Amino acid sequence: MTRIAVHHWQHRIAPVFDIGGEILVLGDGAGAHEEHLLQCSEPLHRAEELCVLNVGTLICGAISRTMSEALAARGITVVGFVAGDLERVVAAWEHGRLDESFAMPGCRGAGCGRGAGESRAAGFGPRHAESPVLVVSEDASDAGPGGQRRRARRGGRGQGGSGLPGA
Amino acid sequence: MATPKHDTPTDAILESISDGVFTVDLDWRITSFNRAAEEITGVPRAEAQGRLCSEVFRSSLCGAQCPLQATLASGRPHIGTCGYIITAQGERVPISVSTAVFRDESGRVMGGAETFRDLSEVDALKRELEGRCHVGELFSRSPRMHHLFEVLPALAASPSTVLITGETGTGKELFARTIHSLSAHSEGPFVAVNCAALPDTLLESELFGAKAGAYTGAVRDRLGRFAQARGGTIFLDEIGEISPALQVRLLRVLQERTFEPLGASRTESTDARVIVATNRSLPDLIREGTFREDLYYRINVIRLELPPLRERKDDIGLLAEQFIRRFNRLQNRCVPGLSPEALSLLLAHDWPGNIRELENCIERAFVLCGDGRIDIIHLPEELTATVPHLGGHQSVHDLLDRQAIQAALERAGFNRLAAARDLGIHKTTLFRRMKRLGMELPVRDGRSAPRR
Repeated sequence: MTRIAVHHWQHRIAPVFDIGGEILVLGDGAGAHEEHLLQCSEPLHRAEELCVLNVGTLICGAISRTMSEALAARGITVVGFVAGDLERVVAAWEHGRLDESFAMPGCRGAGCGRGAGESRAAGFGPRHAESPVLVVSEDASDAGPGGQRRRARRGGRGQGGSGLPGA
Repeated sequence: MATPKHDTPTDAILESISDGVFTVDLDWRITSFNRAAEEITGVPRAEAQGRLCSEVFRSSLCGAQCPLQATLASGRPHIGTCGYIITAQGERVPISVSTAVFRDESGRVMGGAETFRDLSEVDALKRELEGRCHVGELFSRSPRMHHLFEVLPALAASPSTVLITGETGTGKELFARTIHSLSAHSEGPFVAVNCAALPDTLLESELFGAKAGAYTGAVRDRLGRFAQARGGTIFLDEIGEISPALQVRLLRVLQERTFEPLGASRTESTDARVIVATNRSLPDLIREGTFREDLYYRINVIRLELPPLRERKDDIGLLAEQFIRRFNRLQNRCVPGLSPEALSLLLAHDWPGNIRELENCIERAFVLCGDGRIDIIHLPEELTATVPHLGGHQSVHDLLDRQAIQAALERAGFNRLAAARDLGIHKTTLFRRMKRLGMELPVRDGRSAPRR
């Protein structure tokens, strides 16, 4: 699974992934971007739906732990609690600049929510996080635009890591 | 700790209440965010101010279902809409939301105000109360079901075969699953087989497996359900439907715990716990000669008889609530519940299809009711047709009155005075009410001794 999906609403990252809506699936290389309407609401079905679309990484807003664990179980990397204009987020991802300036309010790292041994630059996490919110799968490919995914993985493994590198 | 400074009495009040309150401008950006809002969402005020409310609040209502948007469009407040927010830790926090238009002193619309309440504690209390009337996924307030609940743990600990009987739709498989989940084998597989769903020859290979070449098309060894259920539980539903030949093979498995896959020369063993179920009367089938008596005695070690829903009507409200909660979760909906009239109608129905019929009824109502409560008009015709000239709530109440009087008469052995006392009304009131409802006086009179 190699494609990136971005959950959006009204030209911005949609606030809550769990409730469904539309995703923009970024094409591989020169491939065209595609729009898809999420049909399933159950976490495991939603994960299956993304797998069918060959989605390996999901960029989204708030996501519940149940949902993110279901996606992780299917090998999907979740970069969650992201906010911002859709085009800016996609451009930042493609250039490896999706940092904590794109974090939802209350979800910046600032030393919070990162597991022991994780570097400050590895990612920001939600405040007072007690357990991982964003699960980054072991199966996801290392290849990612601008090395973003590799950094995301490091950040995401930490406690409460959001998968986004620090600013 | 420094005491927060409040500019106005309103600010002081907003800071002191336990409900979260925020206001937005006409661009949906947060203009104020009180202390409780900080606590419930986990978002510091400084980070919330000036941000889009949907990105701060992160609720299941954000988007097309936003009550604040509806309020600003219509000018009408929304009260008590239910949903959840997602905290930075990924927890879903249940909330209820109320919205209003926010105006300045001159009456000019400045934006919207939203108040929200954390329902986690209420939900926890609800769950605790429900905990007293459920085991696993089984819910009931009925004393008959509670008696079954009490024996379930002991029954789950025993290795004996269990026979579950009851009408279709009474939840036999759910009971079997609960026994499995309470047992020491709960980590093992639960394998369910509907014996009526397959023809005899297929059922045999399904249950016991087959070796490659055992029959045309058997190109490789096939593991049977008994083998799959090793270390767990096998549930054989509709056991009354299997053929006499298969009954003999099943009897051997139950007696000796061994079986031979089709075409195999070696005997295999199984340690799977066996639970069987039927909606038919096995003694009747024995009398008809279609069910082996020795197999019956082998499976009838522990028997659970599940009452039909019409005999545990106290459970209808509880079960309907569970279904509503489940469909809300599955469909991301916010249906608050049933109207009293709809519940009355559910209580008046006899439910020949039992719990499955009730579940289908609620699922159908979900399609029709939008986000409001489920009302009479959302219920299927089978239910509304039972109410003569359904013209309003009075008809439903009349129907319930009729049922209550009939039940009281039956309880009192048709002694009218005793029935009236049971209902807490005078005998003449009972007669008057029966007359109004068009009920005829029962032929039997409880005062006279029954005929011998």
